[in-house]
Amino acid sequence: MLARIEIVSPGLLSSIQDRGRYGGLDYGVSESGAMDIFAYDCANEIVGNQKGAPAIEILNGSFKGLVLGKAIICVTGALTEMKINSVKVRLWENYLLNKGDVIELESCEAGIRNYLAVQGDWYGLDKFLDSYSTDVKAKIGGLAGRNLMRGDVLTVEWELKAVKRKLATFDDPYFRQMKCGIKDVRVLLGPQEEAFTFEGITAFFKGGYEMTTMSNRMGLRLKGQMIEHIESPDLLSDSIPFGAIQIPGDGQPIVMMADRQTTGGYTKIGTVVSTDLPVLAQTRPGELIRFVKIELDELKKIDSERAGRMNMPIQKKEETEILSSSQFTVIVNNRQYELLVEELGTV
Amino acid sequence: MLSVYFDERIDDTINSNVIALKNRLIQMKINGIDAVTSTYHTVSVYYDGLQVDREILMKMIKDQCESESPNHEFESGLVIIPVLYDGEDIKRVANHCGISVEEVVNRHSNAVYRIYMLGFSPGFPYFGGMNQSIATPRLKTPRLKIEAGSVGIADRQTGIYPIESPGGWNLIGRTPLKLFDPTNQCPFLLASGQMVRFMPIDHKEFTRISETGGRTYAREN
Repeated sequence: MLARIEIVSPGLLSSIQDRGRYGGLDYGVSESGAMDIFAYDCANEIVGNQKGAPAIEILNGSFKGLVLGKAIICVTGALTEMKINSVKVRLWENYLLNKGDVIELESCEAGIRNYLAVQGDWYGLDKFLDSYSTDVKAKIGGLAGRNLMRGDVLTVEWELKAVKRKLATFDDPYFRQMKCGIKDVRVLLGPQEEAFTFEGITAFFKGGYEMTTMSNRMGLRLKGQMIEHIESPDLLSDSIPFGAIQIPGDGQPIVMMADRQTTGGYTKIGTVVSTDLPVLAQTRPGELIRFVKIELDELKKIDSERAGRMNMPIQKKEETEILSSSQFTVIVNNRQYELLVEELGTV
Repeated sequence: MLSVYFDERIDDTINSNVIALKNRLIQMKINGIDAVTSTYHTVSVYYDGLQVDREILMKMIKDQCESESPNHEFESGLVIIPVLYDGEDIKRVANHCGISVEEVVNRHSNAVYRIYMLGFSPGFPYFGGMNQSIATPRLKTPRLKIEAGSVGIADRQTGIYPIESPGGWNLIGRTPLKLFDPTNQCPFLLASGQMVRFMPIDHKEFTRISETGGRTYAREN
């Protein structure tokens, strides 16, 4: 079967992303990939895709898609009002949609990025260095190396197979933090913490920093109490990981995100732990970020939170039982029905 | 990410050691490592903390740092980059340095440059080795659009724009070679650790190389 979805409105910015591109990091090609890897991974998991399949990242809602060919979809991420044929539906669940169905995302109540996954193998996307992620600057990946536009049609080939209908992860701190206007993210100091004064580092951990509208997929520009350098804010260029917190000469932090450049010459006071990057990716302009200092020996425990979060759906007993059949929500004449599809043996 | 910091200096020996360490780590093909990258003076290992134990990885990297027989793998030969020296700012550079345009070309092309690292944008080489007598300050107002292949001077550095981008460099010429070509099986023309020389060419040669796809380049041994 061919699932086909036409982009009626891409909203502010929609692009194809996956888990990111590592093959060009040593050659100046940005990592790219989903900003909120947790929501992205869940969306693929819920529709039954393999980890790392492409998905659509949608910024700040206002998205509309028209189904041209039967598809199984799921939307995760920001707390956004989602409608199928004008009927309000839940996020983090899968839906079997038919030709003519309309998917709509309205404004985001909390969080800012949604992920739309479609079951199957995507067609006609550009793959570069083992990744489908869109990098607009280098004009690579995704759909012709650009963001999605009205009229684009995305095609995914699939066949009916067992899928999980939903994941039960709503007690995770990720959801609590998304709804909260003050977000605590954990930070490991370094690699250039010695470039800052004691007062500078104290200010960094004491004050909250407000996210400004100058933020994008490259970096989150924050403003708050100035972080003072001892001498120069510059150093000989080194590599920049996802979540590195650069402090340029004005003393205001920039958290480097998916589309960051690979190398740079600003001092970095610390790095946000991978487990908390999805929370950062869902921060809206005007919200506050508080940096919480952690020690190196806590890192393993923090990583295991992330492992637990992602493994939960696989380990849950009731979920594995469904694996012999598939459950979907379908909408007919504005009413929702739970549909159970069981696999039958060959006759 | 785990990084190894060498002395914070632009230095050929440091950079050779950096690249040798990077190559040794790449050759180890450690599970759970997404990428190993290098800059002037650092080697960085991108890893997934859920797949590889940080302590074990750190030990492996440390062992490689202390390895007695550094496995230097020098790029043999020289990469020749043909340049048509007809840049909009070449007169500005000549005036600033008090020399003729021909002399700017001479000094720029009579040097061997080391690629310390690639970064900033896809395939962008950080060269070392420019004759400091042609150093020229950046333009006060950056241009909004600079064509891919443009060769420029910014203060004490020279560089080539691999993709169209804005920038404030003094443009002295352009190369028909594609430093970044995502449609090519080898998308990057250059790599860190290579040595480069610029060769002045005329319009006819520029066109000829462009027409062959901008991927043929000579190597001198």
